[in-house]
Amino acid sequence: VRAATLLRLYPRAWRERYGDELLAMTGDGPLSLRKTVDLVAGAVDARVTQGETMPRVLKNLCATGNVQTGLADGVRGAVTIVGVSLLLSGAGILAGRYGWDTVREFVLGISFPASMVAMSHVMYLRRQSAAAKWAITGGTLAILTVITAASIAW
Amino acid sequence: MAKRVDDLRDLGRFSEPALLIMISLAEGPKHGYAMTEDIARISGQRLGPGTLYGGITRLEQKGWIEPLPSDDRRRPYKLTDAGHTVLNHRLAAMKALAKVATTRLATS
Repeated sequence: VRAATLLRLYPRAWRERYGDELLAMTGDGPLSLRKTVDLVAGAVDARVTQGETMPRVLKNLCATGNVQTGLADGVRGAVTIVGVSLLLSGAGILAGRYGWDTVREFVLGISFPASMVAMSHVMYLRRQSAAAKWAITGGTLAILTVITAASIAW
Repeated sequence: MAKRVDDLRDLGRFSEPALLIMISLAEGPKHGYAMTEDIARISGQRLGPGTLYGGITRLEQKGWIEPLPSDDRRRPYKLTDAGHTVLNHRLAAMKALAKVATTRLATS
């Protein structure tokens, strides 16, 4: 194995800073087993100490999960989840009264997950752009609709 | 309360390679390959490239060594004033420990 190959295991910032001088030291030829193990261990160490063990995308997702929510947001979220849940459940029960059993089954099945999505929309996603907010909410509702409809159909 | 002096032992498993790097640089600026050769000569240990650069990274972050400008891919490093102080402190502690150990061996 050559050092240039193993250098790819290091974080980008580390490679940009130390890569050239490390390659100047090791040369371009194949490395001994001892040096190979040492470089791989160095790459693990660099990733741990440089805090790049977690991919950036995942880190951003986790950061989104840490959105600060206050009392007002909590109340808004609670009202939304309870309100949407009651509304959809009521609609489902009403549909059953009229003999629309398939609609009843569908609306009752989707009422709780849909109320969770609505709660996220007004609570956790409130600082996102309108486009992002509606894409996440609409996309999730579309998937839930397909899953619920499919489970009733089959 | 006395201010705690920064210690090489804070570098964990890299404290020994870092000490060897600093001892090597105490002679004057050197690049990676020259450090490895010098360390092998004075201590009998040949540091692998990953270990050497793990030590260099930490020492540079601590401000105990610094890179010098270079037109070459081989960048030399030098000991900073802070690094000089830390190395002196560590060597004094090692000297005191060696003295205790020598005394105990002599009386055992």
